[in-house]
Amino acid sequence: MGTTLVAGLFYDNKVMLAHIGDSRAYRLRGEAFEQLTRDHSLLQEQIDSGMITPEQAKFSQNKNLVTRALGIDPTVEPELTCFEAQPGDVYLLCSDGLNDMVSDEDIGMTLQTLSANLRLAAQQLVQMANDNGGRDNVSVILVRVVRDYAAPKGWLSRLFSWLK
Amino acid sequence: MPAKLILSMDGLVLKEIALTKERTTIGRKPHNDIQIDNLAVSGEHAVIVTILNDSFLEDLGSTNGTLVNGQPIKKHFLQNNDVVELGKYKLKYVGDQSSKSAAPQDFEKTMVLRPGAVPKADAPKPATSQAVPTMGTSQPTPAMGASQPLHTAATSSSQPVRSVSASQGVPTMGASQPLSASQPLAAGGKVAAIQILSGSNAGKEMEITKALTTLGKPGVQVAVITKRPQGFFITHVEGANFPILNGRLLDAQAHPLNDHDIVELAGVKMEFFYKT
Repeated sequence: MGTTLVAGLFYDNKVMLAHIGDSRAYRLRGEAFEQLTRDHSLLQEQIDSGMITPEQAKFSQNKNLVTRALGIDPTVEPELTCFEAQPGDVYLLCSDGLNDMVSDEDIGMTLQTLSANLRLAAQQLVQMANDNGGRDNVSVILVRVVRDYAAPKGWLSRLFSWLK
Repeated sequence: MPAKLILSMDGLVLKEIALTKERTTIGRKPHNDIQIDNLAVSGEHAVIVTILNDSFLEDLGSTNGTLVNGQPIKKHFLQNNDVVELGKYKLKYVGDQSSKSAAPQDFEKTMVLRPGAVPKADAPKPATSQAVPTMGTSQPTPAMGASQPLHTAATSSSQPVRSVSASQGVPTMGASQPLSASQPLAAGGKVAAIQILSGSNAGKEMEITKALTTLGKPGVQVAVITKRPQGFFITHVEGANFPILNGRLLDAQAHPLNDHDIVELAGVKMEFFYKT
């Protein structure tokens, strides 16, 4: 039995992402919609080695083959990535049920159009995946950075930075 | 059932070859898996690399080249019903049908590949090696639903980071349309439009072509029209006031739009209608 995972920790104006398998994290910053995680999947390896192009990957039959998963071995190493967060950023964490069914372009367009109402945007994304065939279960989490969230500095670190 | 090739010449089927090997070689010389004894075919003409359900055709620098669906190729990701031509010979690629037809019934199963289980395709391998990767276990992905990695209930404005989540465990089997939500065939192929009836833009008409079309003033009142296979729907997006549909105040839910419905948004009246 295995599953995939993506998790995000928001702390000190940063977002730390952990993922295993082909669950993904994306970020919408202004106009730019970007995938932040790289799948642990056969398809991603094929794209990396230049065997197929991302365009061709859409038609691959091997979409559901992950090279790392949760629940196979007693322990598993997640891939950790860290990004600077900015107020206004919208983060999308999702299972492959979303991005296999809805193109990145349409996901980005939906987030941009409905960014004023994230609850609706999340519902809309799940609905789009199901309207397009919904061949897998779909999980969507949307997070907006509302304001700066720098961690308060303790007196000790302030003292050290003053001494330097 | 593995994918197969159907070899024919002048419309006459010569044989069928199942793509069970990792590398299936095609050429004039007898050591090839598919030998075509014809001078127009090079000694080692092309190879088909098969990884699980995907097959890739590569021309091995043949003298007369390899065509797929009439186009010369160097490397090609084979799709169902592709026709490969080597001289007068044709090879029709028929993909694996069994796994495809089973997929919509079941969830797309997430399978785990053990590292190293899949032979690297770019590494040269002896032609005899079989591609039999060992699978781990399979299971539908419950994804992040049960154990949400984030604190999601943060709706109070004191939180710097707000999050919402939606998830659906049992998908409804709608019309199975692959990818692209902005298909022309959505909404039963009907073309709809909005005409502004009041205000400074009265008389203006706008066709609804995208999957999502927003109406109203950002920051004041916004609604969105979504185009779905079942038809068009209107949903409130932002603002203290909800849209009015045919004189009735809407709630937060999506409402289906019918021909000649009147929508009132931020004091502006507009009509939704289908173009014939």
